[in-house]
Amino acid sequence: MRGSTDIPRLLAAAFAGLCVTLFVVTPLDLRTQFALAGALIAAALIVARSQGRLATLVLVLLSVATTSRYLWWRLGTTLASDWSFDAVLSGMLLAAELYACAMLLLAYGQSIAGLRRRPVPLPQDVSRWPSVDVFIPTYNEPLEVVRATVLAAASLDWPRDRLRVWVLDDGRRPAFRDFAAEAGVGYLTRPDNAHAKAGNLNHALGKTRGEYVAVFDCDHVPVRSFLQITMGWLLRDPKLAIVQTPHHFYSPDPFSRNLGTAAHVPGESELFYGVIQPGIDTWNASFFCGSCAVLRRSALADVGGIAVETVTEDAHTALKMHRHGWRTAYLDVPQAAGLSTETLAAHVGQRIRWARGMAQIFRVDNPLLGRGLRLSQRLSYFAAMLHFFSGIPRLVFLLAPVAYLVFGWHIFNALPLAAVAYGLPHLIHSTACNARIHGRFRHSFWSEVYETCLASYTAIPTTLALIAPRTGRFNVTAKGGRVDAPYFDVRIALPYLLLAAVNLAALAAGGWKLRTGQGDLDSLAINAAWTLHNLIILGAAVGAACERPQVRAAQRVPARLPAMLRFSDGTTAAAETHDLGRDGAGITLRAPALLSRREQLWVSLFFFDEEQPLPAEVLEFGGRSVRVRFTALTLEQEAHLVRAIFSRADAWLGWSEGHRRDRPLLTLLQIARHGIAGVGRALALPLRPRPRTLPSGVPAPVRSQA
Amino acid sequence: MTPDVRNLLRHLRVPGLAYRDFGAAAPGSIRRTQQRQGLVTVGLVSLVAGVGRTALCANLVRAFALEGARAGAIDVDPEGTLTAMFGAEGRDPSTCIEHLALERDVLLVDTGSPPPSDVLSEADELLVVARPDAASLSAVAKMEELLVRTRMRSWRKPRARWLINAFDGRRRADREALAAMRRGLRPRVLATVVQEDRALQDAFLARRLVHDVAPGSQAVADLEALARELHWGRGSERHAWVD
Repeated sequence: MRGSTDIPRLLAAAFAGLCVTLFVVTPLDLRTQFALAGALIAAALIVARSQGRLATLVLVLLSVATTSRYLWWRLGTTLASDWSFDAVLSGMLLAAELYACAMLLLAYGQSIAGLRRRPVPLPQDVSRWPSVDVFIPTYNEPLEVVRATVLAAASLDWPRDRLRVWVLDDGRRPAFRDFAAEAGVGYLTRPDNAHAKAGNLNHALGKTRGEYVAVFDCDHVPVRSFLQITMGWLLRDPKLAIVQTPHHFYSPDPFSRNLGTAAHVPGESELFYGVIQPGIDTWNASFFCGSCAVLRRSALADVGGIAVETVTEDAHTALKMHRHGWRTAYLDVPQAAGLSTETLAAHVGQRIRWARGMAQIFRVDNPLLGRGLRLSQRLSYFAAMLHFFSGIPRLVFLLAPVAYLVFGWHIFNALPLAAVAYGLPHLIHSTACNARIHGRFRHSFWSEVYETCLASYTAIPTTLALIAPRTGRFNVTAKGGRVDAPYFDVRIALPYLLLAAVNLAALAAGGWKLRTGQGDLDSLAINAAWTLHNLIILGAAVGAACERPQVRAAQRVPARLPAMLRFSDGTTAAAETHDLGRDGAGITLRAPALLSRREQLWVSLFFFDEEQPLPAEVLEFGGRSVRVRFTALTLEQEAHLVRAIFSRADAWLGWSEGHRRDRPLLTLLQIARHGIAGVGRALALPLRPRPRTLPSGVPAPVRSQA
Repeated sequence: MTPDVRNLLRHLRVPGLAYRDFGAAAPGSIRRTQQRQGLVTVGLVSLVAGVGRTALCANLVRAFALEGARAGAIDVDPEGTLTAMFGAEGRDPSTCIEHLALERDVLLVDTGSPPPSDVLSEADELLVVARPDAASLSAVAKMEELLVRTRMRSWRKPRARWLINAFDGRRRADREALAAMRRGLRPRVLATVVQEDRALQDAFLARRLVHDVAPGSQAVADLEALARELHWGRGSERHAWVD
């Protein structure tokens, strides 16, 4: 059966490959190439009118073919023949381009056929449900942040006798021990902090014996249905080691907040959890992300626990499991939510750690080598790691036009028009194709903004980690903090400012060249356009470094729950919450009521058939809307409030529905607008460097490990 | 199943995906269980006096009307408070039912305590009103015994459900009493719990309906939810007054 379908398929593939190869290698004169490019773009536009999967495949094929043709031309005709200084620069640009094209192709492979897993029902017989340990590792996060996670984890809907929640406190803080005792959950510490989070988890694995282990970072609060939604797959497939769910963030990431795009542009993490994880799940290569996942204890035991060799223990653990023949699953149902990093500096610090960790894995346990992996898994892991090496290529792209505009070096040995004829279709097809495949999760050009913000910071650590992989330090990502007043983080933005200055200088030099008649018009135009593009991206990066105040340390979450206000005179008002936070709530009354500021009242929230009135005071009111602040909650009341905010099974569904559709050109214009506004803000705001130095890439707080 | 889980399952659309919810099951509607077409009689009964039957009865008529059900109330309480304060359709069930069979969907029967045995055996539905306090709690067993006894003799086999009235969640005793009743009587405790509300008493003393006195109060929302739960069986979405 298999053979009979494979032969025609192979023949078709060979034929298609031959056609594409012919397309790629056929030399054409410039005019015909322009005609071909135009025809292909027109074809793509026609195909793109259809919404189906097949149309997407055709578009990807067109994009791959044009990119390959561009590369063929680039490698065949534009290389310098001698070993001059120009040639070295030209080689760097070529390497950066090869990197970008490789990433493009790998990303197509990752995202073209996303496996959209759905939950699997659990056995009817509850007595067959297995025992689960819930681990909440913490090191130096404030108790405020951890409380909600613990209380919500203790409310997970699972047979009580088979659920144990453990706070794994590497900080060994008495307040945490007391809180755990009060909340009725387990508390584990260890004498040393060896291997940071991985060591902490391994220590806890030795002290517990549930069949499964759920891990939540201490700021990731699970909804109550988490286990019932995720465990089905683990029970169905005995070789399944991990079920990972997305990390949903209910506070905007630094980019969205600082640029003001939270409402209509997808957040930074959405591409990974919305496209890449489902995409690599198809190839059985989805990986553990350190939190919001359930792991099988026997699989962990099989690979010697959580990996400790690198600072990204999560991905490395999954890689080891794959090598041992275990499977992993990614379930795209948001069943937990956490806080984004608070500032751009903290974000950069976190990504430096990831980048360094991935580079370490690349060195010490390279997925391309070693036993036990299929080719698709190797490529998936390779893509995930290669992604973090984008620093140097990004810097090359940001600086390349300077070579010609300022110094007059030709680092691209081709007729300018030929570069347009071959290069532009490659850019247009790939941009349009990406917008189609993951426009819902990442708008065009935003990747460049994100990469630009990181490039100058990850370039060195990744390179160092490649050379000396054992020198990693684990830094804890700071969360739950607050920015009190807006300021321009000039220290983090310094590289962006420098790059922008260089690009501006290049633009000025280009203008001068144009005036004095040096250089040819076509080259000047291409390089000027390139510089402008760089400036747009850099402007957005500068804007992202203008920290906006985080109004509340405890973020409010939109939630519509039936509620009641009970006043001191014994009367009541029927109401509905509008937003809920751990400090207070926004409430809509059913009918206008007479209130006074600072009036003490009780707020009841009705959900799950529980009721627990919360003491509160009125902050402000107008017509039917009231804002209240909760006052002096008991643990019982706090647990109730946490369940109201975080435990609802549907709390994080449909969160991204407000996002605008991605239209690449419009998106670029919008980035430009955000960039200009950002630069304006940067000029107007007070400068405030981070209190601690950043060159080591580690924002406060720091966790250093042997 | 609570609305959040229902939303999640609706979103996931996985056949066979069930959810274990250890909360109270939503009771069925009176429509589903009614034995005959037309008028449904609902007896409001309790062993303990002063639990708020009459005020509930008067206001429920309006709440049913707002739900689109034609409701009326009759008063078989020997004290005749309902008749005196609000007026009732009549005081004799059999003639009222005969008269009103085509004009009403729901007929509420306000009783005195102890409840008359003909209401206990002849109504379609019984609403046992209780406060979450010691007096009501200690009378639960006795009331249940009475219900079982009359049910054995009755051919109509009315379904009795418990309604908790004048609940104040700030009082631990109230929360514990409610939990105890839910545990012991589940699923026969209605999902709707009527909150203690000063407006309800004030309106009653002024011989007015709470809908007119305090339209934005929780009492109105609770009565609405109660009428909806009784009428349509949508118990757990009790307060969803915004669409």
